[in-house]
Amino acid sequence: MPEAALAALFLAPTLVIIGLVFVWPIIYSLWLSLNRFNLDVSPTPSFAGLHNYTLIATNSFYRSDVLGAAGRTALFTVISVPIEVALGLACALLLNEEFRGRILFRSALIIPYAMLTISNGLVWSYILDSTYGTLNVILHHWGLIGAYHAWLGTPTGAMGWVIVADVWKTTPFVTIILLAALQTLPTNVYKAAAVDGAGVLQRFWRITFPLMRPAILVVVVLRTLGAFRVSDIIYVLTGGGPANSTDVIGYYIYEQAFIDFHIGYAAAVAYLTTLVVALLILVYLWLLRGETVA
Amino acid sequence: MRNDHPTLFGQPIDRRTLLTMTGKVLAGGTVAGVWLGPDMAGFVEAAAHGRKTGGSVTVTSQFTPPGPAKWQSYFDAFTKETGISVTLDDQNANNQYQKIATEGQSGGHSYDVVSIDTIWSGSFGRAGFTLDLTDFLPASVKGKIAPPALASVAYQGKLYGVPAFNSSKHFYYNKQMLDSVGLHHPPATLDDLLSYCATLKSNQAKLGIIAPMSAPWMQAENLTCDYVDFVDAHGGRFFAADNATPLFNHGAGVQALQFMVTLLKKGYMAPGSLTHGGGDTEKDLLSGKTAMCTRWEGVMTDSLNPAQATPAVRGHIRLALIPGSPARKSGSCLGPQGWAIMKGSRHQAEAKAFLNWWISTAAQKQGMLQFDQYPIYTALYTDPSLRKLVAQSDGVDDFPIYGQQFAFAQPRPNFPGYLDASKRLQIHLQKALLGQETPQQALNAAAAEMKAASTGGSNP
Repeated sequence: MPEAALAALFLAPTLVIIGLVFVWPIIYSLWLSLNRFNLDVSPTPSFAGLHNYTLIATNSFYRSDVLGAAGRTALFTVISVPIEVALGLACALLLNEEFRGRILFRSALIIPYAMLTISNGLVWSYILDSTYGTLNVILHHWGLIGAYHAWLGTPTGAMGWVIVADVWKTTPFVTIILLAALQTLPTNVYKAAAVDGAGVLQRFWRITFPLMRPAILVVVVLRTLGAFRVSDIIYVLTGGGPANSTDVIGYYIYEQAFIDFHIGYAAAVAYLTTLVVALLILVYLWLLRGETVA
Repeated sequence: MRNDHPTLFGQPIDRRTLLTMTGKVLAGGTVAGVWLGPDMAGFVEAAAHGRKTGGSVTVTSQFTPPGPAKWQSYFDAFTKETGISVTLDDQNANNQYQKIATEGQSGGHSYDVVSIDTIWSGSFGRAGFTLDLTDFLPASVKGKIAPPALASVAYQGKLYGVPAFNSSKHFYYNKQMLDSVGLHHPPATLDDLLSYCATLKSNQAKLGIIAPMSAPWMQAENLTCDYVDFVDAHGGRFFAADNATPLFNHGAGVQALQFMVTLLKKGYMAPGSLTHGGGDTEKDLLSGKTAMCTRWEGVMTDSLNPAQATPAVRGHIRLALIPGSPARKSGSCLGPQGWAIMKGSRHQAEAKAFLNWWISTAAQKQGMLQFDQYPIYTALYTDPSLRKLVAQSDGVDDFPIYGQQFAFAQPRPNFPGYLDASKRLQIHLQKALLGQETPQQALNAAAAEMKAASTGGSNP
């Protein structure tokens, strides 16, 4: 058998799986987005062209829904991503040093990332419960609060704690990526800097950070994608409330598709979200141009 | 204890005692008579002659608590009578809507009989997921069923199931706590309720409570139900009889939301009420953290269960009518459920036999005794034998109060898209409770959005 044919034969199973799991759903959901398809009304989709897309512009309910969800998603992203990157970089810098217990610390750091997001949400819901939650019990016991607090009972509190729960889970991922990048940095540069009398902060800002820039941009891209997809932590912790204040675009798409059964419309919103994310990635790639990962 | 031990109001009971009590219940006579539809009659006749029909039916509902094993022993009576085996498919109530809709949409055959909430009938009926059972029940039987229970499976004049049990919100209170602060009767009016809350709040430390009441006001359907409670108690209507026109943004509806805002602002509701579900509300009452709440049926049984109620609370919970107003003695929100047959079911005859058996008086009584399933027949609420048995188990003669509350309750609409519409209402209710909108602003916005949804305008 010719080598090319043999290669194709070995690649075929993987390509079939990728096609079924990745390519086909993308094509099918694009087709769905061009149909009026509401599962609890009619079993049959009807082709409607760009109806679902123009609905967002022409119908005030859907326009306010989508713009509101997009705004909340932007807020979530703008706050959570920088915190994750900053904390992840700090942890990576720490883990890059030799100290006693480093292996134990590295192992412990992975635990939040290894948890299922749903499990993570459940843990935080128990911690933040207004009647029995650990946070209230501890703070009240220490005299830091006079009465138990409903941490998720206000829009600001709910969004804040959703961000905390997400940061807690995903910072280890950022740490792993940045630690790997740190460990490939050339050490002779640091030795030269030390000889020249550069202090710790100077070495960080003048050497480490510029050399880490490509890796940092990679994690910013990946975490931005992740922030736009967040829905499971919302599902467990807040259900989109209170007063829709945590209804981000990922959760909105989930609700439209799997609770309200507006399949066509949900697919259209998902595609629009993908478009926005793709534009963001193009911006990041432009910033990344000419850089090489350390 | 083995898992298949029967229970009575949540307490374990030996089979001999349960069967003796069952005999006493059945000896009290029937209400609807013994109606045998043609499907069930066929199976009963075959079973009586020892012929194996090989029939089976899968029943999908939330069976936990107390668990499928305990329910299986209840359904054994059906199997014995008809030869039809019953497979229980235990599904969390929060997931049932999606599972039924997905099954209906895919044309699957996994489900035969499914439990449907009153607010789903329209969606499933119009989508064609469930069979039209308008002609299944004879008029003589329909006439004896409480109208709210029958309405739970009705949409646009057709029946898409049979009633499974009757249900509404009720008022529960800790009698010992109220007595200890000089309140010797449950509040009869909403003004009484405010006054009681003030008294309880001023004695909060002494009673060891976090607040006088707790409420399930997270952004979920329970919030809508609580709001309907107060609309009804104020003498208003949630929706018009046409099932499509919101009426809540006028008069009593606005007063109801203002009342809820007042309860929250004055600290009469537990701080976590805006994040609480129904289970949290009951947990607060049964752990002694609050003194009063509104909730569906089952709290009296749970209050006697050592696994759910603290020793200090056990035996002290009482039931009363939800406080009313000068306009109306009491008010509540209906929440009955029904059984429907999936159109894709391959066991429709067995499924119909199951529904026939379920609505028999004997099964309704037994369901009440064993599982707190409140009967669908109006007359059973004054049945002396059933009332006596419930009083013996509860330690309190409160059975008639349930029947009275069902008469002071109103339904929510069940038009297709209701769940989406209700979500929009919940958002505005929470905005009012958080002070982001006035009650009138919130309800006007919600009414406009729900009106659009009820006429299909919010379907993309």
